[in-house]
Amino acid sequence: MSTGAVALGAERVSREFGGVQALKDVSFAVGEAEIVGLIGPNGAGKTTVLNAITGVDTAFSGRITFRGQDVSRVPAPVRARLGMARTFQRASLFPSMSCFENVAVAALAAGLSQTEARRRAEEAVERVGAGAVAQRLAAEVPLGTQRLVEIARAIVRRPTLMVLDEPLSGLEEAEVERVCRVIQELNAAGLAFLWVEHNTRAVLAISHRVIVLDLGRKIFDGGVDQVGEAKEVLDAYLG
Amino acid sequence: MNGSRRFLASFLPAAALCAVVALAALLFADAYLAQVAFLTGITVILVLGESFAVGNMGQLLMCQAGFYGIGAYVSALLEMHGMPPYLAPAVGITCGAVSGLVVGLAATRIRGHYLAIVTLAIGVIVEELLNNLQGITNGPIGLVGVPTFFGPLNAGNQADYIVVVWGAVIVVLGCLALLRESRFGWFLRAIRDSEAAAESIGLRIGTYQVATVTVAAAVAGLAGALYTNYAGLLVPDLFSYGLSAQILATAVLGGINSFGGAVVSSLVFNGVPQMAQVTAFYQYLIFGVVLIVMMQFAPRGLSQIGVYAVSLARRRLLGWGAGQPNAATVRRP
Repeated sequence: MSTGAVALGAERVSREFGGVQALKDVSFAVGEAEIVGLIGPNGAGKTTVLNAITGVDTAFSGRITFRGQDVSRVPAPVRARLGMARTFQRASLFPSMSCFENVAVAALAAGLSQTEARRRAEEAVERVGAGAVAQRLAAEVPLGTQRLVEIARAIVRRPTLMVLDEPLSGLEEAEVERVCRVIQELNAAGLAFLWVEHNTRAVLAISHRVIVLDLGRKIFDGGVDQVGEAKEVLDAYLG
Repeated sequence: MNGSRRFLASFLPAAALCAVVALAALLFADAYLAQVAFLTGITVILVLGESFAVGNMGQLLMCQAGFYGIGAYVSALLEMHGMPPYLAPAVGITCGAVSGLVVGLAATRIRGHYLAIVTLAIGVIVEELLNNLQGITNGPIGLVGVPTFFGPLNAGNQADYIVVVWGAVIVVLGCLALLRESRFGWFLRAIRDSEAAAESIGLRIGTYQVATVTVAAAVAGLAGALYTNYAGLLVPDLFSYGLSAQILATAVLGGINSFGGAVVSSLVFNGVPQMAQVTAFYQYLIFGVVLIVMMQFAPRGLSQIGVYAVSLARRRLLGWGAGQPNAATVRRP
């Protein structure tokens, strides 16, 4: 649960694509060690927000702060070094490497020595329960395992915030449970999560708070027990 | 990440092949074949640099001939003004690296076909500069009387030239293989596999692209300095953008990122036609046809054929896997 300190802040973030208002004055915060679900119908602006937060897109107006620092124009690799990790909608592992190497290369990128990188990678792979497939090529393991390896790769740098883009899409029920369990375990260890997900049942089950977007606007920001009672959310998405 | 085993696996076979070629040239080559051996060694160096860049960066570089020309001309000009020839390789590497750094910085944000076109344009610009900066390069007439390592190649000194160039090939092979298995090589592989994911682990793609172009350019610069100190004569036509295309095609035919493939491909598509004294017209014709056929049937180049041949030989000669029936071979009752 959140400690009260803010890990991530979005302040009046707006983005326009050729006259189409993809985001309009969206503001929210993610507390440290908090799990925040970002949901909404297709075209709501969820991916646009994630792109602004992770530095893939810096051509928005407004401000993104990370642990008190303005990172609005900071490129993606620098945000990663500051402690912001992410995964992708389509699992983006390095296909020519084994699962273990995928994680180890991230540890090396964090500037660790070979020995320390290996130790940290082994720890991360075991932590997500992918030890059995560590030596298999990343492209050859099931999608659910790829998602877990992606999470292992993201946590090896020991970030403070993890941004997940639809980590449950395409997964079977058992895999969904496994990924959710890993998210909860990592959160219990102090890692904050902002996750975009269409599986609302899973989002409501493990998130502490939910933000709902519709047509580029924030229409709800509150506890998971209140979201089902918000009329605007029911009309736009959950209804 | 078993780096040392991978290093040995990529370096040793290619280096052994180079040693065999050099030894054969030392033992059997006449003056003409010694020239062919020397020039093939130069080609191998150029193709290795290209193969490293394209294979690890996943981007096409079309200006190796330009870097080669810069290394050759700068080295020649300095030597004509009194620099000792034994410093030439260092000068070539430095000039190539600096030109690669400049090109890399200029093309930091460019990828894919755009990068190929930009680097092709840079190759054309270098050739035009060599042709038109008459006060420095002597224009199309070129530089004559450049000092050489051992004088004009003849029966008395051919062994020296062959040892120098093939020794350089093996050193380049070793350096590139080490680099590929280093932290830098792993980061390049990550970027090639997924740029977005590489950025998400903190890698700045532009920085590594610049570094890779710099490495490839340094290798080409070394080739230029070695060529200068063999030929003693430089003309801009030697460094045309057509040569860049030929280097790229040879690297692709060998199998991108396969050092052994790069060596074999250079021997097969450059050394052998020169040995057989095939005219340039037929050489390019055969080259083009082979390129089309290979892209159809073995798109990963000669290295793919080599891997297939080794596994076939294992199955046929050693019977590996023969005693283990599988779904494809077991006939149902």
